[in-house]
Amino acid sequence: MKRIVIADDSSTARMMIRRCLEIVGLMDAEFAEAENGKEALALVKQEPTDLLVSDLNMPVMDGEALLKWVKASPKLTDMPVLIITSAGNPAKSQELLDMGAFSVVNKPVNPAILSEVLTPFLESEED
Amino acid sequence: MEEFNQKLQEKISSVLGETLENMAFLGVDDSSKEEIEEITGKRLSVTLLVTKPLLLEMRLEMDEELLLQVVETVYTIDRDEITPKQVEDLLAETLNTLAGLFMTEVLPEDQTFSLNLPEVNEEESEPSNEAGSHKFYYLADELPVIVELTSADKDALATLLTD
Repeated sequence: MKRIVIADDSSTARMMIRRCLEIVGLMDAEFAEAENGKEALALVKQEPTDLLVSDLNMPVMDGEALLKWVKASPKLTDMPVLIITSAGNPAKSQELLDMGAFSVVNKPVNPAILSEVLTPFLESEED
Repeated sequence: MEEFNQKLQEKISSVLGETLENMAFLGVDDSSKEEIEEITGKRLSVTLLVTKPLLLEMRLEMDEELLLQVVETVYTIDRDEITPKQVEDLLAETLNTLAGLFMTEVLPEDQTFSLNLPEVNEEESEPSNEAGSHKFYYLADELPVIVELTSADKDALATLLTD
């Protein structure tokens, strides 16, 4: 079973992301939720995590700082980080991809977009 | 000036439509101040600041009944299970998404932008009457939605929209 951590300060966004992930084939995944980057970092350090989905604009620790921490940690650096944000445009997306993000998706999120960007991740689920 | 207002309205209509369609399969129709004023019912509002590359305040006001309908759809819960926090969170996330889409639409691809966190207004607040303020009125499921933009630098916003 995959473990997925969703970090977003909005419970609405977390719910929408989770629903979309379930629709694209991750119905049986174990989901853990965080309201900010600090909480998310604690969750991914606690237990091995297959996918971290994070917003950018969050209080306490934002998604960019979270991505930096993850990529700087030898234990976490291989974990894919999917950024889902309202503050992303092509320039920002490229910046985040250069920092090591697995993919960057703009809000509003929908299953079709997630299915497309998560194809490699979903294929490994089938293995 | 007319071209600016028309383009602004087109962009706002487009991003509001995309946001509500994705969140709750809701369609949006253009309306007017007069039509909206005839509809009674409590409304909630939220405000968000765009801080880069221009200073812009965005305000979203939605009918409470409409918000409850969307919360029911997003969370898949019954009306009596909905908490005020969920309603406020949904309103804030709607504006956050709308603002991000709007900025992505109007800025060049190589231009980044910054959004502050949305803040729900504690009491029913009237839209401002500032000179640089633009208000657009809509109906979603026959219930009012108002989007207001106030730019600190009106010329910068006009340039982005007319380029």
